[in-house]
Amino acid sequence: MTSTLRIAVSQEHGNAPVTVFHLKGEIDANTQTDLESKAEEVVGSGTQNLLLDLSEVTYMGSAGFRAIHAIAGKLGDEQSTTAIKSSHLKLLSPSAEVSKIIKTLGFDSYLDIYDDIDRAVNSF
Amino acid sequence: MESIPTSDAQLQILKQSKMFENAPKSLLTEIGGIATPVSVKADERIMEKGDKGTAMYIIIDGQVRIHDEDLTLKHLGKGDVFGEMAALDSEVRSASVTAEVDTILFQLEQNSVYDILSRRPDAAKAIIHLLCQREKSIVHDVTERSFKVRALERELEIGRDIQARFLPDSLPEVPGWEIAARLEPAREVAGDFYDAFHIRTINRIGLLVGDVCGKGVGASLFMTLFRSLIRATSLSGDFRGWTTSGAGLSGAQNGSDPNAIADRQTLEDSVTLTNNYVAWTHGNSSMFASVFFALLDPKTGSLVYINAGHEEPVIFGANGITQRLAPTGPVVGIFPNAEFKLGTVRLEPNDVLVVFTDGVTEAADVAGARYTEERLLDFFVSTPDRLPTTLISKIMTDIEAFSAGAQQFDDITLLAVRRTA
Repeated sequence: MTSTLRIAVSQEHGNAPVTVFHLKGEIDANTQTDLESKAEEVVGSGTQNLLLDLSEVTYMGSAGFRAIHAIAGKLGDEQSTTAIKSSHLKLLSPSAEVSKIIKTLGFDSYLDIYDDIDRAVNSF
Repeated sequence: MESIPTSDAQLQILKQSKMFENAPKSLLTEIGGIATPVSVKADERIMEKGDKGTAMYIIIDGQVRIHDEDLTLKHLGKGDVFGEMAALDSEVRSASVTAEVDTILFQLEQNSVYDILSRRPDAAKAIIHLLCQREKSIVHDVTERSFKVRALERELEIGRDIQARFLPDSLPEVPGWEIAARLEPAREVAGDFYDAFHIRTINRIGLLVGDVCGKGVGASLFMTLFRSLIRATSLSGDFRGWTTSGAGLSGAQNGSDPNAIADRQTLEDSVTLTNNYVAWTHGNSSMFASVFFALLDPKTGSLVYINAGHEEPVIFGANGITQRLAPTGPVVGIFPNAEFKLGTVRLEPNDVLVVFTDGVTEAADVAGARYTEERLLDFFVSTPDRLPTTLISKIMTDIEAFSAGAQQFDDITLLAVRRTA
C-alpha cells in the first residue's frame, strides 16, 4: 500500500501574494518529504505566504503535521518563546476526518483554517 | 545515437576490452566488421529498462551510467560491455543506460553475434569469459552489500534492544489494581512508548502512553527523550530522597489529602517542562509527541490527567463505555509555552481504563481499510473480559484478524488499568 500525494501550485493575489498548494491524496510518512521539498522550493523562489488546500486530502498522519510545522518554520514563524498563530501558513477546507485530527493534535490553536478560498487568500 | 565510420583506433580499443583480452587478432577484425560505431551525446538515454533489446554495446570512448530510475547501479567506461544479457537471451533490458559524457560505442546486433558464435569457438570463448567476469563481479557486489546490510541490521538490533530498556521491565503491582501494557513496533525501532511507575513522594501511580510523530529511527530517538523527560520530571521528588511532597504541609492544613494538590502540580510541571524543553531545544526538528499522562491515586481511584493531543482513552465498566478522556492541550514538543489543562475522573470498582495509540485504530487491511475507533469501541462494549492482560491480547488478536496479513505500518500500543476493588 503506497500512498501518493499530488501537489498543484497556483498563485493568488489578495492583500499580498499567496501561493496555494492544491493537495490530493495522503500526507503521511511516505509523502511528507514531497510536501516539504515543494514548500522549500517555492519559499526559495520568494513565496512568503502559503495556503494549503486540503480539500482533496483523504488522510493526514502525524508525519504530515510534522511537515506543516517545519513549513511554518521555513516561512519565518519559528523560534518564538511562545507559540503564536502562524501568519504565513494557513489551511483550507480539510475534510471532517482531517479536521478531527487537526483538533485532536491541537494544531487548530496555531493555524487558521478557512472554508472559503477567497476569504483565506484575503486573510494574509 | 548516430552511426559514425569505424577507425583503426577504435579497433585498438577492442583489444583493451576485458571481453577480448585473450582473443586473436582475426576475431577482433571480424568483430570490427560487424560492429556499427555509434556516437551518443552526454545525458542521452541508450536503453530503457523493460524495453526489448537486440543489441549489445562495447564502450570505445566515454562513460555511461547503468541505473534504475534515479538509482545508479554502476558506472562503465572504455572497454566495458553492456546490454549483452538482453541481446544474447532476447530478454527485456534489466536496467537503463545513459551516457554521462559524449560517448562512442560499438553496437553489435544479436544476429551478427549469433552468426560469429556459430562459426568461431574463440568468439564463444570471449562471450563465456565476459559472462564469467560479469558473474564474478555480481557475486562480489552481492557479498559486499550483504555485509553492509548485516552491519546495519546489527546496529538496528542494538538500537531495538537499547530502546526496549526505555520501556519498564515490570509494571507496578498495586493492591486493588491490575495494570498491563503492550507495544508492537511496526519496524525494528518504535516511536510509541508507555510507562507505569510509582511516585512515592505523593503516593501516585504514573500512567503514560505517547506516540512520537513519524516512525523508525528518528521517532525512536525522540521517544527516548520524551519518555525520559516525563519520568525524570515527575520523579524529581523521589530522586531527591523526599519521602513526602513539599506541598504536603500546606495541603494538610485544610484537612484534605495533601497529595491532591501535589499530584496536580507534578503532572502540570512534568508535561510543561518536557514541552518547553523539547520545543526550545529541538524546535527545529519539528518532532512532537501526543502524550496521555495520568496520576492515579490507588486509594481513591481518582485520576488526574493531561491529554496532550492524544487519542481519547476509554473508560468502560459493567454498563459499557462511561467516559472518553478528550484532549486537554496540544501535542508536546513544538508549541512553546502551550497550555495544558488538567482533567479529573474517578475509576470505580471494575472500571477499566484503556489508553491506546493510533496504530490501533489506523491498522489497515490489505485493501487499505482501517480498523477504526468504532470497531475498538464495539470491542469494549461486547467483550466479557476485564482482566487487562487478556483484554490487550484479545484486542491484538482482533487487529491481526482484521489486517489479515497486511503489513503493520504503525506502532501499536495499549495500556489497560482495572480497579478490582
